[in-house]
Amino acid sequence: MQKKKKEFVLKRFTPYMGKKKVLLPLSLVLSGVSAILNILPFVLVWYITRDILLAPQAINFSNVSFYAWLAFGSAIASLVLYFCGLVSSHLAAFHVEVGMQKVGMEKIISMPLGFFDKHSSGKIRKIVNDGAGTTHSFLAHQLPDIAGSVVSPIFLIALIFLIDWRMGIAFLVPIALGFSTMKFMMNEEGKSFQKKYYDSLEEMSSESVEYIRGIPVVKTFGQTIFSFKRFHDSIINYKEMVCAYTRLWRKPMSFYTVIMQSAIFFLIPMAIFLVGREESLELVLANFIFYILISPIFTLLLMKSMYFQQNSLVAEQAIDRLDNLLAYPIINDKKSLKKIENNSLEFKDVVFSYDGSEKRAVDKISFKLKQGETIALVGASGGGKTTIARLAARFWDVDEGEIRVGGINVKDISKKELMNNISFVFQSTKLFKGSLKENIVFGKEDLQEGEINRAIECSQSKDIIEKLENGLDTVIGTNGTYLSGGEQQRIALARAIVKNAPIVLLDEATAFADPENEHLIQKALKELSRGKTTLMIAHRLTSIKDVDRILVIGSGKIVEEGNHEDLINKGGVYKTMWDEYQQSVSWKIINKNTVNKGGQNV
Amino acid sequence: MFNYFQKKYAMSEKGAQDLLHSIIWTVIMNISFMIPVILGFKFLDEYLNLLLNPSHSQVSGILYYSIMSVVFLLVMFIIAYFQYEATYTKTYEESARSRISLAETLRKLPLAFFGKKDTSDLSSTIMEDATQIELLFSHSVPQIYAAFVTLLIMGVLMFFYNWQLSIAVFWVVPVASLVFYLSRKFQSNTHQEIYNTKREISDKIQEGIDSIHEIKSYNREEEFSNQLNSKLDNYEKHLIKSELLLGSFINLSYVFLKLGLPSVILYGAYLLSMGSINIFTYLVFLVITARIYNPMMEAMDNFALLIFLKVRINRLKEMDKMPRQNGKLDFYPQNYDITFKNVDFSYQSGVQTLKNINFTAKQGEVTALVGPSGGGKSTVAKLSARFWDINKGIITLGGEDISKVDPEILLNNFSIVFQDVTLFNASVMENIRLGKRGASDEEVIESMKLAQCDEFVKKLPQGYDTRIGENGEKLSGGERQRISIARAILKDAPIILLDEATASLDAENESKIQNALSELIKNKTVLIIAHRMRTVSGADKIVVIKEGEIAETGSPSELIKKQGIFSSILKAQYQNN
Repeated sequence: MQKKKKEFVLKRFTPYMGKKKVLLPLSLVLSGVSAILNILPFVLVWYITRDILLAPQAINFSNVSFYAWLAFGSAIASLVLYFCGLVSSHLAAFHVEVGMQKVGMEKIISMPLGFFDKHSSGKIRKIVNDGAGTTHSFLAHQLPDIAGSVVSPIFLIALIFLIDWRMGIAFLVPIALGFSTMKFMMNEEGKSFQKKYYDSLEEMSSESVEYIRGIPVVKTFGQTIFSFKRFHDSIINYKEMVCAYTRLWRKPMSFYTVIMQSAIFFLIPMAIFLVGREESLELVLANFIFYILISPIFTLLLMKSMYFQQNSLVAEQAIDRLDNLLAYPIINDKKSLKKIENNSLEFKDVVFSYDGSEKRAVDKISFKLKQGETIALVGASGGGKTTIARLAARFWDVDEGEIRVGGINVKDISKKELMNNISFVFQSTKLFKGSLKENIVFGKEDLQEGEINRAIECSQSKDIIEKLENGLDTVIGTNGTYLSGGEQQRIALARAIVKNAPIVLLDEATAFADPENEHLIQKALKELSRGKTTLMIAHRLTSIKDVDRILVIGSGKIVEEGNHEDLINKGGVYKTMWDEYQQSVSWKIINKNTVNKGGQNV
Repeated sequence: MFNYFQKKYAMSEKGAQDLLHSIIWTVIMNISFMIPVILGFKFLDEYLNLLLNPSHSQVSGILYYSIMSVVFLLVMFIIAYFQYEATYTKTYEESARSRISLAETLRKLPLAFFGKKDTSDLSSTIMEDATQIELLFSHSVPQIYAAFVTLLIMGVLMFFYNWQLSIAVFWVVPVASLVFYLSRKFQSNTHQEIYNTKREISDKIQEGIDSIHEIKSYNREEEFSNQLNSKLDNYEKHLIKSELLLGSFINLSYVFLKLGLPSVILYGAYLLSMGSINIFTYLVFLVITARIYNPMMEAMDNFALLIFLKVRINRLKEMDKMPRQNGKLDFYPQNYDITFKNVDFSYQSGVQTLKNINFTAKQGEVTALVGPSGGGKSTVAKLSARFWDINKGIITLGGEDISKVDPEILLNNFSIVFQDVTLFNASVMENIRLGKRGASDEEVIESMKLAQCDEFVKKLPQGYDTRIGENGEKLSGGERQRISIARAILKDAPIILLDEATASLDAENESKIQNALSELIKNKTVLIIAHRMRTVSGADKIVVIKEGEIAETGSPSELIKKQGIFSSILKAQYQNN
């Protein structure tokens, strides 16, 4: 990473350029030539004035018109070249923008699933989009200016000294003064002020996000005045800060603005001085005009080159963010074709801890699920149940021990093969934009009508589809057809049933998002795991009474193991959980006061 | 002029005044920047005379010009100094004012406004907009206006000086502007198109990441990439097409501008040879012509910024149009009975959400709202706390119309436990203390214990003082719910609105939480959105809501006897367990 930072910013785009690598240098050359051609008209006007001043009485009209059209010609040529440069830089920018999203997303979707737990989807999207967007605007609009702002100052400075070095010095004095003022202001104090400014700006904007997000809750507790006051303070704070900052810059900035406009003030005395030295008056005057002509564009170009540095920094940061995001360790996908032969699932002394955490999330866990068996994981949240289930789907690789599917270490199974054999239903699953049928069939194109119907039946989705006017062909999200969370889950379960993988991993918590659908989803889950090797994370203890084995997980370890009856008889952790669960199920909302009312009146 | 700015840029009166001042100062500054050029012309004039009529001409020397230069530099500096103050400092003051009034507006919006994700996104976008607008107003807007005014003034002066050559300078301007204007019109069309395709891509990426489990589990990576890539290719095509067209248009307009220089050179040379102008005039126009088009091109380019600004300002204005809720601040109800009388309500016109709702939730009783999801249960609960204002009918609390009471004062009487919890990036302690301002640490800890937060909070790195990240991102769903319950317990308001799903989200702690809730609802008006029929069979009153209307009301035993909807749902749920 460190090494990369030193690379020239343009080079970092090359991986995303594909076949259009030539566009960037082409654009640079075109706009460089254009920059020189753009200065030519000034030189030609200078020629004209010189001719006129040297022979005021006999103007050579054909010469003048030649210069005039040449000036026009070079201005147009400059424009055309600039336009071509702009087009190629835009083409390059589009290509990089698109390429970054292609390459970036391709890498992202090949990340191990654990990656997506670490980064929210919004954040990933933002990094990919922003990275692409920022580099787009940088390449499209800044790139042609780079060449211009490098080539033309050099060209101009050469001209400035070639035409008359003494006037050249007079010309450059105010510009040097301006820049040294800027430089002086960017000293330590200035820099620390700038940092403070950005800090308070950032503070205010995060304060504003929090303020807005907090309004509903703060409002329900009747305290908006206080949260408002906090935000108000940060606004005032920022204003004070920024005003202090502007006051600091007021004099130097005003001086800078003025001095950059005042080249003529320095040129006149020098011109008079030169005239006093018996130089040719005509030439001095003609040269004087040349310097007046170029002074505004010269400052403009210098400013542009300053902006370029700023903007290239922004683009660089955007690429850095993308690179950092993609620096996540990729799980090696073996292409070796070890076929899974049976449908057992085995954990052997598995140890796993999350990135940057000392604590073992899974600590020496061993168990074996034979083909067709069902195991339920229970225990307090944060104990490691979810991690165990996810390790089985290879969200991450284990630190120690091994996980075997069908007797083969998951590290030796290709991702494709593994996924063909495992279905998992973890979080509230998502449907794609598309018809219900596409959502259910999802990849199994050669599916029979009967199989679809069976899946719909088993997943308890029949009533959802019957309710819809267009049935299976309904496209979700159009014409106001939306499905509730629970309904979406049932459709997703139909999809999993269609997939018909022999090993099923499921998290029952999915069911709780939508209490109305809960029992239907329970039924569908049962259908999904019928006859399959199943590892489930259980929350409703009633639903696991009949499983083959229950593992009670706590602090990453197996605390108790056995079937329901064994564990109840044992009278340990599971028994306590069971008792508590029984109590909560029979809970009713009874207003204790109402019950006592009669008593109070006596 | 004030009014114009005030309206156009949604500014305060002071802000509009300041903007005008800033524009005037910028114009003055721009004109002051002509001083060096004018002094240069004076020098040219004198020394040209020396060249052409050496006999009777008088020239000023170095001393004169040096003194003049120093004096003018000083004048220019003073002007720039005032311009700086008028532009930067004043802009920041105005944007502080606009941020504060925006914050005030947001505070007054109906509660339900914040429930919708896109709208709350909108409001944070607006706060970001404020920063962008600030930047534009400090660095661009006064400059753009001033550039136009300055060019106009210069043009007029030049016409007075020599109208023939001025025509040669300016004839290209209307032509170029016309082409430019046309290209802008065209741009806004293609802009929308590109924006849409871009949006599609962004959605596709989001969809891909959101459903990464499905993509991986069904081995659909390649399909996804292909779909995304074809969208991206299409986007690239659109971009290229629009860029080529637009770029050609804009450059065409610049080509016209560039025609100005040869026109002046040629026409001036002609006039010079005819003797209708002198050399000095010719040179003056040459210099001006060579210099004038660049600022013009810049002014045209900057014009796009004003369009960009307009979009953002319009969003700000939209905010002002949002319905605000106000009401009286002194509200002391005699009791805490909530009554709905003939209430109609719709979120958007044309789609009626609730129709003719009538019921009373009595103080000291538990009233359960029951019915299929999407039927309107939570809307009813939210309306009782004035999340929205209703379209027809009346909702009373203790006999008083709640639409006449300030929402915040009204809400002082409610403890609300819903599924969507909002937490702050502050300590756990402070997040809970929000329930009751000035509550002692002991009180807060007590409510944490009741809500079963105590155990997990103690395990956090700094215990009660651990900061929990932006919107509590470091906590699990169940933990967040428990914190919100702790808040409600601490607040201990006379009315409780409760979504039962909240309590059952955290399966491990369900029974403990339910105990805490039972404690909380003593002698209160309780309105519960119930999902499991068993839970509510002990309620005093059940209101069954279906498709926006009340289908049944009565005590659980009455409804079971009635053999209606309630009893059928109850049966269905029993069968399942």
